[in-house]
Amino acid sequence: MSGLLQDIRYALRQLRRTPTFSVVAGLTLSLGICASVAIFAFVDAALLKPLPYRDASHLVDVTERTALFPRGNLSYLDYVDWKRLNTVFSSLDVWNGSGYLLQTPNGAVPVSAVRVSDGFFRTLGVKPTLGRDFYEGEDKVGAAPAVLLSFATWRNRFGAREDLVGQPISLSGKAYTVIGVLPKDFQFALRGRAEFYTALQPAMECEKRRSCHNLYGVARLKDGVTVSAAHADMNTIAKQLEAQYPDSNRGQFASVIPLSQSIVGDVRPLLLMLLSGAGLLFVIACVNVASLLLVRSESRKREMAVRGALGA
Amino acid sequence: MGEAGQALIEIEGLTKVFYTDEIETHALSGVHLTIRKGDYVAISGPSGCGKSTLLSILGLLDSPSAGKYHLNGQPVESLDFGARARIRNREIGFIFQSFNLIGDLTVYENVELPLTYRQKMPSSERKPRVMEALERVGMAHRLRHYPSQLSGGQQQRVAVARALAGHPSILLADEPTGNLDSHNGEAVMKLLHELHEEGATICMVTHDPRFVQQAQREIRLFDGKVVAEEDLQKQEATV
Repeated sequence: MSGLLQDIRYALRQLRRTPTFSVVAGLTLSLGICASVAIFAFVDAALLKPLPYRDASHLVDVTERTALFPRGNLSYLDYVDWKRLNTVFSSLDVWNGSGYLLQTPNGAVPVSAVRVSDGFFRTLGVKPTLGRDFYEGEDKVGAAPAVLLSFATWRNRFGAREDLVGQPISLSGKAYTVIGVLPKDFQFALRGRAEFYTALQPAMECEKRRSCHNLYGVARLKDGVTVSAAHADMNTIAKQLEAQYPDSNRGQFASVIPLSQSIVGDVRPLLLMLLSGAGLLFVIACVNVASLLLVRSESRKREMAVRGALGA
Repeated sequence: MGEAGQALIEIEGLTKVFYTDEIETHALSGVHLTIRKGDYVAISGPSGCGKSTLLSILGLLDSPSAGKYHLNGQPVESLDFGARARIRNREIGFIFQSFNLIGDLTVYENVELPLTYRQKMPSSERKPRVMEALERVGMAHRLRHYPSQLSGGQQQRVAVARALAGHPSILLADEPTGNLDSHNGEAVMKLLHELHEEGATICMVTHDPRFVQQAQREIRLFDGKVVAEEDLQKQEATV
């Protein structure tokens, strides 16, 4: 330990004695390290870390697939059939992006929202930090309109009032009851910074037609079921539906991919390339500093010889 | 520093050949030498006669091309790098012409340095040894100074302290006064003389006849061979 302290003292003295070398070496290494760490942090968050949901590896993105669109939206009626017929998911839910006009004391404000089926958050494994999740059936036409708020919206727009739960708010002129607030760290990357999550009641004309596709599916695989097995099962169902509804479902198949892959999408190779670039930059920085040290070691040859003579 | 009279260094037929561009240079040719514990030996001779080469081999900084070298009864001519370093650290104290103190270390740290290479020696054991060595050379009041803050004579005294701190079997001094003025040179030689009086075994390379006379024995080298070996004390006695 005392030897280590002595080495550190000696190193510090040497750094102080050669400030130019120290600054150049420090800056070179800092540049290399900072760039690598920054890119790695990005890659880590996007590619390596699991999604911030319970057993995220079991989550898959479920969409329809045609010859033209490898990943297309689901129709509500297909979703209902897929949910009923599949044997591979413990739950299958849908969502789509939406927007409302939030009525505030200063007038109506456009806000970003997501319409979700009632089991959406249970599928993700997310529980509201305040209030409750959607009840089963709360996404049926005729159920009382309910809304969950993101944590930031609850804090920024409603002053983090705990008594907000149970109160109505006006979204596009319709009263929705606030039933809960989502956790602070909850994010749904596919929909960015959505503020409001309403129950998806299939009241829109599109949702009454099998040929109208406006939803995205998210499902949780049953234990032991692989993504490819789920993909195969869903395609079997798609073929049944094609036979059953040839007018609307001709050439429509299913696509099941890991949810993380769906979020990262085409950015993955780019991120890996960036990571390689940052790694290369770090190696270059190290080589540069090693070269500097090598040059400097020439001037320390005598010292090394003396240390060697003394038994180092 | 050992039982006087016992052979500390025994060299038989020591040869050192340097090869450069197909030219063989015989730096040492069949050197025989015995240094006993408590001896004070001066190796002298003209430049290029092999004095420093011999001292390097004695100090295990270099290895012979042929011949036998026993240090404390152990053959050491063909040890590996690590074993040689260990023996250098424990058995040999070096005093160099140009002091060779490390500029970024304080006087205390320079003297402590060889002891830090003894892995099992704790700081609490090193400290009294360092202080003892520095007190012996009269430099204990300059503990926190750096070499650049000392005169040449003071630096050489610190170098002597560094050589003494490890309690070596032998001190090897290579022209210890070569970089000093006459006053400081004499002071260092006086210090070496006192150390010898206290029982230290010293082997010194010098070409200064005044300092050769301080040794007990002179070994004269010429063209890599021992050409004369004189017992200086006996000579003095007969004179």
